[in-house]
Amino acid sequence: MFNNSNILEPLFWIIMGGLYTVFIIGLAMWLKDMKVKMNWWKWSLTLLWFILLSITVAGGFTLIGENELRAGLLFMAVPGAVIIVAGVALGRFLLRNTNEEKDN
Amino acid sequence: MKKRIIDLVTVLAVASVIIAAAVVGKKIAKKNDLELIGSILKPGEEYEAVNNNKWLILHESGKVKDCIYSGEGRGYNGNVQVAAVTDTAGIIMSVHLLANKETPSFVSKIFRRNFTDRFKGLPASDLAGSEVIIDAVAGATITSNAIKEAIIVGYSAGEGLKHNHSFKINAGWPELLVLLLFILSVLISIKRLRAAGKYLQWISWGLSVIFLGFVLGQPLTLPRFITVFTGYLPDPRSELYVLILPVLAIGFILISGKNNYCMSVCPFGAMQEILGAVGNASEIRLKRFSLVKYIQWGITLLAVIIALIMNNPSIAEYSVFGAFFQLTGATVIFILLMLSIIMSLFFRRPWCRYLCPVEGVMTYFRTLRRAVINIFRQ
Repeated sequence: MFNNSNILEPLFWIIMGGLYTVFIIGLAMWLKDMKVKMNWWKWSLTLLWFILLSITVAGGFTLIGENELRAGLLFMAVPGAVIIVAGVALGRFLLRNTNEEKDN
Repeated sequence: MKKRIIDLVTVLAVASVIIAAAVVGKKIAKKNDLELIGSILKPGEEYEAVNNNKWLILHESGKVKDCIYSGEGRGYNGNVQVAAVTDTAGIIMSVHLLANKETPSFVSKIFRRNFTDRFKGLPASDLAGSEVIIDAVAGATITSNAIKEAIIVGYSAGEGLKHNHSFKINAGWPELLVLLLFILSVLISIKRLRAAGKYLQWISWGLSVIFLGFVLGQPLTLPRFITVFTGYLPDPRSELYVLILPVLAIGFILISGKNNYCMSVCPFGAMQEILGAVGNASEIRLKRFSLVKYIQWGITLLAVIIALIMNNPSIAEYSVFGAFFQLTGATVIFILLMLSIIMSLFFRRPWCRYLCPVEGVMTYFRTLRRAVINIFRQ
């Protein structure tokens, strides 16, 4: 990725790893604050969704980096849209009990 | 009173602009057949016309080398003009698309799948005699069939053969589906059936998305309306439902004033409703709603005028239907589609309300109806 530097590539992945850790820990704390009861399969679904989103963004930008602009944008637009819709559905499913409590 | 005059002036002004653009477009578009035929010749080759559909390619010595047959087939947005080059024995050597008004992404699909190469090596007489079956390119069936028809028409007319012009209408489940969707749209709007109407509405949206959207892939688009002004109507023999759809959509508006097509029949409208249900979408309340609507209608009118002046309805195609249901379209359309999908999760029908060109056409017919009723009331 960074052809002229030895330090930038490991530094990039350290930052990415850090951001992923912050995201997952932050998500866990936010769900706790929202009083969302999570179990193993709910976590599996959430992480699967996040991995799919990451792969879509990474795949799309890899194609753009390979000078395949149209393919990259299509890769992000088509599966990306499906993943975002799935994410909203998953979010509504996970937060449905908290919304019901608020209504009561 | 003031509103009545505004309606009448708007209807007349828009109609005048559209007719003027159509007339200008027709005058500009006259392109010489010979110019088109000349474009497929190799350097040093000369040609001699036998009749309006057949040309002979001559060697420098004056000996006949090959033949060119030119004909037209009925495409989605207009006639597709094709030239088939054959050897002296009538074997097709190459097929050239001379002129067309099809949506560019569909034409590029035809070329990507090397559709024209499927005719190579076939005797043109066998093709004209319907002894050979050429599979159409999936997702570009109408354009594929138009190319095949153009070759047959060109060869038959060039050789003075009788081409079978039988007028047999092939009506089937697509026509029944369109009728069913419009019947459902009427049932849904009946107040007494309100309880069942909700379920009927979801059944209608589901059928529309699956069959009208994904299976048939032919929802109403702006070029479909523009083709009427360019003097072209789809062939009722092969695609009757494509003809029924705009007739019923406009008919319902003119008779009842209700836009049944957009509310219940349009597959992308239905898809937005489904996405809205997933994301619990809310109504959009914009302070300057009318201004945004004028921009939407203005863009529609501009697209119609440009397409008519260029005499090519496909230029006006900026809707996201093809991108969504057939994964066909320009990159910018896919970006627009992505934004529409995401917005649909949170707001009801953002595409229909602020961008859809068909909504602009429907609003025009509704205004026309209002203006005519007001004239008779006076």
